[in-house]
Amino acid sequence: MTDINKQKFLTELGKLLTFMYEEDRQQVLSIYNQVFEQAEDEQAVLSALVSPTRQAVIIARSYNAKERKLQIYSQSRDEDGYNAASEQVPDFVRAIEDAVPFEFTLAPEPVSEDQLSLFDDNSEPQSADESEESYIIPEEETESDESSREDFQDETAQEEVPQSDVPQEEVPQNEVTLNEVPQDETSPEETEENAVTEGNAEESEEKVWDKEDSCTAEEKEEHLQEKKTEAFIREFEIKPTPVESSADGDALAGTESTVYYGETVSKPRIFLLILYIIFAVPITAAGIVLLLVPTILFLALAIAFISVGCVLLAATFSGFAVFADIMVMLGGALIFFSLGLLFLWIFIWFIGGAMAALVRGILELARKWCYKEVPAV
Amino acid sequence: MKRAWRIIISIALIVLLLGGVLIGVGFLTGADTNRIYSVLDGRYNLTEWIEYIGEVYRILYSEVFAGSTGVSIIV
Repeated sequence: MTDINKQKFLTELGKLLTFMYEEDRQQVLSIYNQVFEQAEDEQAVLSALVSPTRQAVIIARSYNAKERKLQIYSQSRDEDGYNAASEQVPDFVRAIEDAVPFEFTLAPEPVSEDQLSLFDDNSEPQSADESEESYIIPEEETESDESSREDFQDETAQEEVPQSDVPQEEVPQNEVTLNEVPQDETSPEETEENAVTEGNAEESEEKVWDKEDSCTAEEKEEHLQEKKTEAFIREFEIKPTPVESSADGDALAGTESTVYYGETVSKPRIFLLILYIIFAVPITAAGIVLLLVPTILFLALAIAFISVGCVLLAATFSGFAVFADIMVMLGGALIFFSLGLLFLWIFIWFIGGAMAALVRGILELARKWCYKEVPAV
Repeated sequence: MKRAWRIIISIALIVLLLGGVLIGVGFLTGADTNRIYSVLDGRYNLTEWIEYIGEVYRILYSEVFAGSTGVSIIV
């Protein structure tokens, strides 16, 4: 009977650890196997571990697939001569050591690069979100798995468990940290669990339950575990972000534009549009004429300066014999060229920037004033 | 447009700086402005052009600000 319970525990745990790499998963299962083998009372171990779900939650909090991959890669690339893999204990192993209340000797096998499937591109473990679904599955499949869990719990309840070794009543109170684990050794992940799992609030709820029947105590623990799992799963929930659509359209063309929710169509207000055109056209023309003055001025300046620069350049190499005079003439030509380039660019900016912005602004104003959004029929 | 402005201004500044450096180097190595002016005058009749531009400016100034009549442009 005890072997079946242990086997069921390990099997259940193995199913819940699919988010890990295969080698790490096997390592975890071997560690738990060692715990069972080294413990004097197997039922005490099962009671202390509570359930495979809880252990999977503890391991999941301390396991990061990407970091693990980097860790193994750095360990395998160590060229100092000594095997650093045995020196560096993974975080999830430490979490297991903290979670298991019994002392046991741990002999992890160093993982070499050849054996590891971490470097295979196709051997990526399930993501945390997917792994959370595996946590959800026991919750959703309560009809099938809960019976097995109840059997699992019933078998532990049927065996006489010495109260001195396993204080069962205290387990629900210390949800994350077990009684035998000193507070100094609690990992940050467990303290995070304390904050997330709302232990005290749930404890008060649990105390209301009927404690006389041993089955209700088991159900209480089960209920607590479910709530913890839900709280843990809630952390990884991805909230949908609102999608906004921006309105953008050509006003005068009367094209459709989608604004906010639902489809809308821009319809012109005829009277306003005619009135606007009557006033906007002469104003736009006056603005363009006003802008034409500096435009032509800058064009003239640009042509003049570039012409003078060309003349100076031509004179430099044909009319002067003294090197110093040539330097001066060359410098002067470059200065005229730079100013000509600047004036030319200002002329281009007047054409493509200022005038175009004026026309665009007039059109935008027309779209705002003379068009209305109506729902599409 | 902003990026284009930055490029054009930077090119213009670089060329301007280079021109200033060349002029400075020329004067440091013994350039003479009278010699330069005499060469340009002989080639492009600079003196006459300067006198012409000065006369046009004086007439325009008198026409616009002083309001005198009887324009006569000396060619």
